[in-house]
Amino acid sequence: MNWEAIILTANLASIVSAILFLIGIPLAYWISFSKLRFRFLVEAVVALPLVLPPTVLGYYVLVAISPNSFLGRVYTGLFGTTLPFSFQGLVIASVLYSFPFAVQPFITSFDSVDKRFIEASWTLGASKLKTFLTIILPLSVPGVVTGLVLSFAHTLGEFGVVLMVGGNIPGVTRTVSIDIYDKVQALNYQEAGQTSLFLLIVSFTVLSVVYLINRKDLTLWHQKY
Amino acid sequence: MAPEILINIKKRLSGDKKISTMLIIPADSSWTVIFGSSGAGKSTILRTLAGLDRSDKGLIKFGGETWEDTENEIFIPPQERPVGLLFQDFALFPHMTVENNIIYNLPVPKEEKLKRFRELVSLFNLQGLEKRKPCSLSGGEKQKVAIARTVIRMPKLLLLDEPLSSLDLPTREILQRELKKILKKLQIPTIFVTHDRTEAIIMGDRIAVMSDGKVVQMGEVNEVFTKPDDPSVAAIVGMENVLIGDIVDRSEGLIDIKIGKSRFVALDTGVMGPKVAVCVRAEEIILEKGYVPESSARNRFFGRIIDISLQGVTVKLTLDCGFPLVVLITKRSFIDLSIQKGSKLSASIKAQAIHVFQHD
Repeated sequence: MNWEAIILTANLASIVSAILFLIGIPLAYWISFSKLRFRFLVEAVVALPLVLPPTVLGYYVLVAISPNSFLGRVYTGLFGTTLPFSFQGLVIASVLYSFPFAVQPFITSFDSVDKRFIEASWTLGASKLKTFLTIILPLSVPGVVTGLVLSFAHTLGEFGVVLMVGGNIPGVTRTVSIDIYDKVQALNYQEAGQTSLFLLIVSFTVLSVVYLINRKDLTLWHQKY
Repeated sequence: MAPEILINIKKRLSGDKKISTMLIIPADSSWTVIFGSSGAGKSTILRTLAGLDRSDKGLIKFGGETWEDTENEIFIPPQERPVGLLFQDFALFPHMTVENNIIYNLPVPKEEKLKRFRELVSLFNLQGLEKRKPCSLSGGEKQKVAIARTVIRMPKLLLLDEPLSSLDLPTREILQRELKKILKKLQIPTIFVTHDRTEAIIMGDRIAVMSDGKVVQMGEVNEVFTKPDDPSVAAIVGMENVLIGDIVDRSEGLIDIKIGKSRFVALDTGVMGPKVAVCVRAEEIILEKGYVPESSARNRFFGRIIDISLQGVTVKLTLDCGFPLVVLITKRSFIDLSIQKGSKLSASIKAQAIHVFQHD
């Protein structure tokens, strides 16, 4: 097994999940609680990576971060390197690609928090931020964990976007799925099989955890009482 | 002049419903009941007072403070209003213990927090429940916790939104008394919303009757229930008998009203005829067995029971006297008179118990 690729992929997935937590939670809050007239449009944009071919997404990311683009110029000005075919570029692409897997469960869980708990908190003098941190977020733990785990798992298995944006640089952008593809191309079926089995087991475990925490009788407490 | 709570709001609700209400309530320690059928806009008034809803056009003042003034674009958010709102199903935070629910967001130092908490625990008899989660509490316990959570921050105005409606009847009757007993001690002006007539009578010092988003009558509870301003109020406050007839005679301060083949005698309040609505509360009718020809009551009708329905400690009977007459008696009288369908009974009503309104 190619441990370098496995560690790189795990690193990528963890960073992507962390970033999605930081930007996904406020975004989901905004979508769920502001009385947006065009909420459906925002939701459609969030869900876009679900249906777009990875090559299309990868193409746009590549164009957006190329050294000639505004974003690319700013990045090069700040760090002196370029984004395409780098780990950082891969992170940006992966965050976009896994976006709906994190944000949709966040929105769903925020939406399902009983409005009365929020209003009760307000009438008890708690600010919107305090209400979010002490009422909404604790009551949304299963949904938030689901979002993080799903985006982690989804990043583990991505292929098309990585190939478009990251290429295939060992130790930098060669993730597990690329590694498997390489091994098959080189007719090294034994190693490809080992890595595939490893990925299969990890994915199955992760999904089992998601379904376990979402089983009604195992939520941390009962919303309805 | 005692401080007043002024509520003058207009608000469009979903569908065709709208609220257009003007209320002035003294901000003393008295209880005001907002009474009306569901969908009359009672809860919206409380929500607007608490700042959870905004009115389309309106002014809300509490003593000298302005809480909402759409004309001058003033809106005090719910967090900054000294209001305690008790929700219909209590809305206790399910992930917090009883203790953490009660002291949630209490803006006082820790020792003071604990002191107040311990006081309330003993006042409400919550000993032993401090570390429990709301889902393991009974209805009555939840109610006490919710009240404790509301009053621990010493609100200047208490709003109760049908706090008992989710409980079963026996628990409710016990809690009605307890609730008022405990909250009376706190001396906070209280607005209580209900659609339950008995609750309104037990809880209220004064009552505002709402219908279709408007306050149609406000006054002392007794006054409103026994002397409703017009037939629509009568129907809301539970004048079960509203009959239409004609004034046929006036003499010696009394009026004679003809309804079908029967005659009613009522006090002459100067009501204009000839068509009038005659309203009688079901509990002001006295029933006697068989045919009773003489009595001091001016109105006597003879009929058969056509319908019986049990309602807790009372029984609602419908007597066919040529017109349907709804009568409310206690279960004990019901048993003593051994009433069944078809029983022949005499109903008598004093002239004072008949309320007459002009009817166009």
